[in-house]
Amino acid sequence: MLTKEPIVEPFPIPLGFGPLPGYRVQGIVRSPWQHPVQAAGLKHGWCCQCVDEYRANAWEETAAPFILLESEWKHWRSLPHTAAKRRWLRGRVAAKDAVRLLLMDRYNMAAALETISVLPNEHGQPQVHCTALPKTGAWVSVSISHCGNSSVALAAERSEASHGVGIDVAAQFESHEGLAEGGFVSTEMALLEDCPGEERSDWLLRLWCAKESVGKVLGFGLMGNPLNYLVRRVDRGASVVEVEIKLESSVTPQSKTRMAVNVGSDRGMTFAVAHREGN
Amino acid sequence: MSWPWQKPENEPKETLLQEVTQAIAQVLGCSSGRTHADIQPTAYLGADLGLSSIAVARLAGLLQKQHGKKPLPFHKLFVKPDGSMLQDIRVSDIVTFLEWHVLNSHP
Repeated sequence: MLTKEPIVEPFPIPLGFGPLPGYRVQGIVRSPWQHPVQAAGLKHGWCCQCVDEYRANAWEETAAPFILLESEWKHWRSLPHTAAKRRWLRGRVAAKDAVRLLLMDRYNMAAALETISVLPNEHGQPQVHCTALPKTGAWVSVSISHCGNSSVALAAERSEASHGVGIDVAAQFESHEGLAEGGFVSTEMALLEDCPGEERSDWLLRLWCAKESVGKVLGFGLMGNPLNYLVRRVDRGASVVEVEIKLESSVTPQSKTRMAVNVGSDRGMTFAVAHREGN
Repeated sequence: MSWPWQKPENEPKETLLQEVTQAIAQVLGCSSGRTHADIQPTAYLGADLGLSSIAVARLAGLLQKQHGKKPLPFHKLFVKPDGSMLQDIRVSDIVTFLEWHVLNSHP
């Protein structure tokens, strides 16, 4: 259901939540996180949202039935423990926010929560279903990533020129010992040889996020092996990382074997954004 | 007789379990809210311990540094014999993997 009237959510808005910026629409929406979209060249039809969770946000049992559709709620209930539930719910909030922001920006439409569902397919890739979309003739892809107490979602309008997006984030200031040995081969690490020592840790994370983001945009993830994606080129000046896709063609018939990924850092997080362009 | 700094040829599985448990605790960090007691052999890395893919890569890297004279094929842990993918593995799977690849490896 679409409405241009302000949406009033049927539950108290948790701490820090406010109206959709500039539109006076009530809802579980905060200011969008612009940095990843800017890093990717301010793409039209893209919206990114970051949701931080604080102890005061007691969403779970009270808010979940209002945030999630029945199919989502069943999935959420099946998750094994509280931490997984919190993270999953936070990711849905970010994803739905991003989709709602996108619909507002592109079509000046305020989509009610109950019109949007975000559920994983058999490979774990989130799929957006929005009853509002057939009317617009558009469809949306969304990618979700988690880091500490934050969840990030990037929603993008699909078209002939854009076949989807992938985003990944990682905590900038945590220890990442073992990542170089467990996530990369020597030829990849050699690309950071001329990187100043104080920047190397951040760039290592960017390279990791770049691999993850390509796995997400393809819809298969890392498939248990980070070496399914190899970093082949790093342009630190342009903040672009080129990733070679090593997955077998039987897994994913790809016309392109390399993908340029935009990377950056903001809010204490390193991020990477991959975009699967159409032909 | 062996030199005191050499590991015994048949390193007990218990020692490997301790090493894996310590490495998992290291990648989980103190902010995860989990303790050594949570890291049971039957625990799944993702579903039970909440390890993300970057944490699993770090874990592989830490164990590689401890044991690997040559790269250990950790990714094979996620592949079933029929070639299909496993979404999650148990702590004990890593111990068995290390036991086979490290203790039974020949120079």
